[in-house]
Amino acid sequence: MSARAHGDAGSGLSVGVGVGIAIEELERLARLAEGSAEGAAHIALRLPPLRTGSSPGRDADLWQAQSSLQRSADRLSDLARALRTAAVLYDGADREAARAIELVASHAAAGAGLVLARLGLLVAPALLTATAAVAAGAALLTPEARVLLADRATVLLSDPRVVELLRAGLSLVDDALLGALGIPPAAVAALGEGGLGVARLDGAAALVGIVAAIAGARGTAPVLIDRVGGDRRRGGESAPVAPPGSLADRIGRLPDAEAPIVIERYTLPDGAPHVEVYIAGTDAHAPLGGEQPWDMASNIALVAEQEASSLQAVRAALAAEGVTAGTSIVFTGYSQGGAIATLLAESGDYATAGLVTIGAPTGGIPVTGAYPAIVIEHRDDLVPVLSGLRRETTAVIVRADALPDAVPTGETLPAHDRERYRATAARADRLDAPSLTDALARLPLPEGEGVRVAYTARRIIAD
Amino acid sequence: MTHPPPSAPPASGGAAADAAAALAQQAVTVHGLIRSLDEVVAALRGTRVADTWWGPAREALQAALDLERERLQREGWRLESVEIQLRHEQRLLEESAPAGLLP
Repeated sequence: MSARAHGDAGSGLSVGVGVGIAIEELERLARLAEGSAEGAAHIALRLPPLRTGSSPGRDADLWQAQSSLQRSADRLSDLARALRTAAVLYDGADREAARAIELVASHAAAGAGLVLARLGLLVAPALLTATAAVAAGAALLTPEARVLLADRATVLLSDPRVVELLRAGLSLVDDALLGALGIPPAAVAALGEGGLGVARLDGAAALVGIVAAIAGARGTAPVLIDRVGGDRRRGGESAPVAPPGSLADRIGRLPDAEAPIVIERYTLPDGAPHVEVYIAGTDAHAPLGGEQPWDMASNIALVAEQEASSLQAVRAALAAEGVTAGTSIVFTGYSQGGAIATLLAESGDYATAGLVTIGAPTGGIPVTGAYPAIVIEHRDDLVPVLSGLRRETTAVIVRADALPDAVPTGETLPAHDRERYRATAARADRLDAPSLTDALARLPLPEGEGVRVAYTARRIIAD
Repeated sequence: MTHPPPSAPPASGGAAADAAAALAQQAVTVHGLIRSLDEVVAALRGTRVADTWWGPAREALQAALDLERERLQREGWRLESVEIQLRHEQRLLEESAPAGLLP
C-alpha cells in the first residue's frame, strides 16, 4: 500500500481513500501542474500586444518570453495529463500487485506451516527447553537490564517497516494454519485471501477465540451496563455538551476504559434526533476474561467479528438511550473501540451517519456504507496491523508517523498513545485534502447543545 | 523576485509625451504579468512531493516541477529586463519632451 502527503510532507501525514491512497496525491499534483500551465499560458497570451515594433531588441525578448512560457505551459499540461493517467493505472496496479504478492506469500506461508507442523513433534521438546531457558534467563536479569530489553523491543516494534511486515505476516496466519493441517500449499493459495478468499484472518482469529474460550477467556460472555452516577430513579449523571467541532475535538471526547461508553444526544436542524457515541480502547491491565469487558478476550472476539462482550455493552447502552434503527448516529472509537464502532456502523442495525476510528484493528472489516468514514492510523503503531492487510473500504485513511524522530523509552506501544492520535487528528484538521474535508463536511451538524451520558460495563461471569 | 510598484503614466501632450505615456502603460502591464508569473513560480516552489512513497518516480516528478519552475523564473527575469527598458525609454522621452507638455 502506498501513501501520500497533503501539504504536510515533512511530518509524513498522508490522506487517501481505500487501498489506492496515492491517487489523491497524484490528483493534487495534477491540479497544481494544470493551474501553473493555465497561469503561464495566460501570461504568454498577453505578451504579443506589447511587441510594438518600436524596439527590435525588446520585441525579441518578448517573443522569446512568449514562446518559452507557452512551451512551459504545454509541458505542465502534459505533466498534469500524465499524472491523471498514472492515478488511474496506479489504482489498478496497486490492487493487482497486492493480490499477486499475497498469492505468492500465501503459498510460502502454507508451505512453512506444513513443514513446521511436520517438524513440530521433533522440535517441540527442544522448543520447550529453549523457552524455559529464556524464562529463566529473564528472571536472572537485573530490573535495569529488563527495562533496557523492553525499550529495545519497543523501538523495534515502533519501526514502520517492521509493523508493515507484521501486517502482511498476520494476513497469512490462515494460510499457515491450513498448511499445518496438511492442505497442499497450492490449494491454500487458491483458497486464501489472494485467491478465492475462503480462508481469511477472521477464521484464524475465530480459532484463537475458541482456544481462548477453552482457556476461560469469555470474550463473548454477556454484560451488564450502568449509567455513571448510577441512581436509575434519577437517570444517572448527564451534562450539557456542545457538538464536536473537529476531528481532534472528537478524539478528545473518547473515554477511558473505566466508563468506556459515552453517548451524546443532539437535535439536527430538521428536528430529528442525532446521537454521537464514543467508545474507549482496551484496558491494558484488565485480566483476560475477567469482569472488565474491554479486555483482550473481547479484542480477539472482535477481530473474529463475533458479538464480543464490549460490543454487546455498546449495543445495550445505545438501546438504553433510546437509539433505534432510524436514529442518526456517528460512531467514534479508539483501538478496540474503533473495531466496535466499525462493526456497529456496518451492521445495518443503525442509521449510521459517520464513523471515525483511531488506532483500530479494523483492516479485516470491510467499510462499504454510504456514510463518511475516517480512519486514522500511525504507521509505527502495532495495533492496526493486528487485523492484517486492509480489505475493501471506502473510508478516508489518514496515516502518519507518531514518532518521526525517536522512540521514547519507558512507554509500551508509544505510537498507540491516544494523545499522540489526538495530535495527529489536529494536524489532519488543518490539512487541505479534498477527500478528508469532504468527509468532515458530510458529518451531521447538530443544532445547539446536547446531553452527555457515560456508561460503565461489567462482564457476567457464570462461575 | 521583488518589484517596486510602477509610477502612473504621465498626462500627455505632444508626440513625445504620448509615446512616454504609452511606454509607461506597457511597463505597468509588464509589471502585472511579472507579478502573475511570480505567483505561478511561488506555487511550484511550495510543492513538495511526499517523501514516504514512489521512490524514483517521486524524484523524477520533483525534478520536472523544479525544472519548469526555474524556466518560468528565468522568463520572469527576462520580463523584468523588458520593464527596465520600457521605464528607461519612458524617462528618455520625458526628458526630451518640452517642459510645458509634461506634468
